[in-house]
Amino acid sequence: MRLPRDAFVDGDVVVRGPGRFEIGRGLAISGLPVRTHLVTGPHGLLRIGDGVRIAHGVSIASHAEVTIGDAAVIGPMCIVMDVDFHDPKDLESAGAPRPVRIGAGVRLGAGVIVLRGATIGDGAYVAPHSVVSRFVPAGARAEGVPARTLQGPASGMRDRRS
Amino acid sequence: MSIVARVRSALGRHRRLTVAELGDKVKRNAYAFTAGRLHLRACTSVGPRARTFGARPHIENEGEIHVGDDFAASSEFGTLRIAAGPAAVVRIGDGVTVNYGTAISARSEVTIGDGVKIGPYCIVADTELPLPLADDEPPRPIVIGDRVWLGARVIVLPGSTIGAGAIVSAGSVVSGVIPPGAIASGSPARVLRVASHAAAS
Repeated sequence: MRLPRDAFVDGDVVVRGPGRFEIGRGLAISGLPVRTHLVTGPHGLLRIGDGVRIAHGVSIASHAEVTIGDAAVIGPMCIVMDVDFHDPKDLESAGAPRPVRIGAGVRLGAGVIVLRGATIGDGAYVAPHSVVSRFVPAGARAEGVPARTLQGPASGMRDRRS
Repeated sequence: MSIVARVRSALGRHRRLTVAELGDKVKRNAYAFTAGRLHLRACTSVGPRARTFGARPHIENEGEIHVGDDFAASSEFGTLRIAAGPAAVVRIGDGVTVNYGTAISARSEVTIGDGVKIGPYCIVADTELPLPLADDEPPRPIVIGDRVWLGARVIVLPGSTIGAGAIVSAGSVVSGVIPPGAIASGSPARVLRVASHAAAS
């Protein structure tokens, strides 16, 4: 799989898999200092909107469907996967994937982990090192393990201190 | 530190090593010292005895990058990256150790004091999205004091200040001010306690 010609690629980025990729315009993706990889399973679809920015060390895996909305920002060292690669009760069987949807204009801080079945609404902000396993409403600010939604919309880390 | 004092301290630190192990270490450091000359040449200034271990670190210097004496950086399992945007300044003090996979990115100013130890896969960037990706928000400078220890995978967010002698435990996210000598942990990092000797040193 080749990234679109207008994509800005910085360093070590691996895009691989038997599944499908739909990548929008103006993707900016970094693979330095840590390799970034986007992989799809046999029936996986990874859909990336326009103007998405993906920082270094990011792992994205799709075995069903992972959607990343327009102008979303995926911070460094994030993990977004719609599959656990095995069933929680039977570690020998392949786990059932559940689609992940990341809305338009979402910002994931550094080191955020998005688990299978998670949905993050448009314009939400997820604080660094949070783990999103379920649902983050549009425009919300979520943080923690597992991520909880804080009151009111917020756009960045600075809102906590003010 | 004088060369005699340095050798004495090194021998003290390594007195459990056999002669063969000590020789191996000297060899490794001699190689790292030579590599450092080459690998860090994109920096604006580099102190003597700067060493790089493993692969070539990525140094992208459109502003100023000052690296102090006795710098030791590993790029053995992930490369180190130090990036300074146009007119931005990265200042790294003397005796700083940086482990592999760490990103240091400045669009304004990132200052790292003397004797700082930075663990693997840390992110020290004055914009939430490190260079070269564009960030929507303006950069806010970061100051890390002398003898600070950042554990593995610590994220230092834009605008943070970490006081001298503080310890930030692995996996923490620093947002705001950590006082000198504090032991901080969590996301966002909260101060667990402040070492009593901190104010004196």
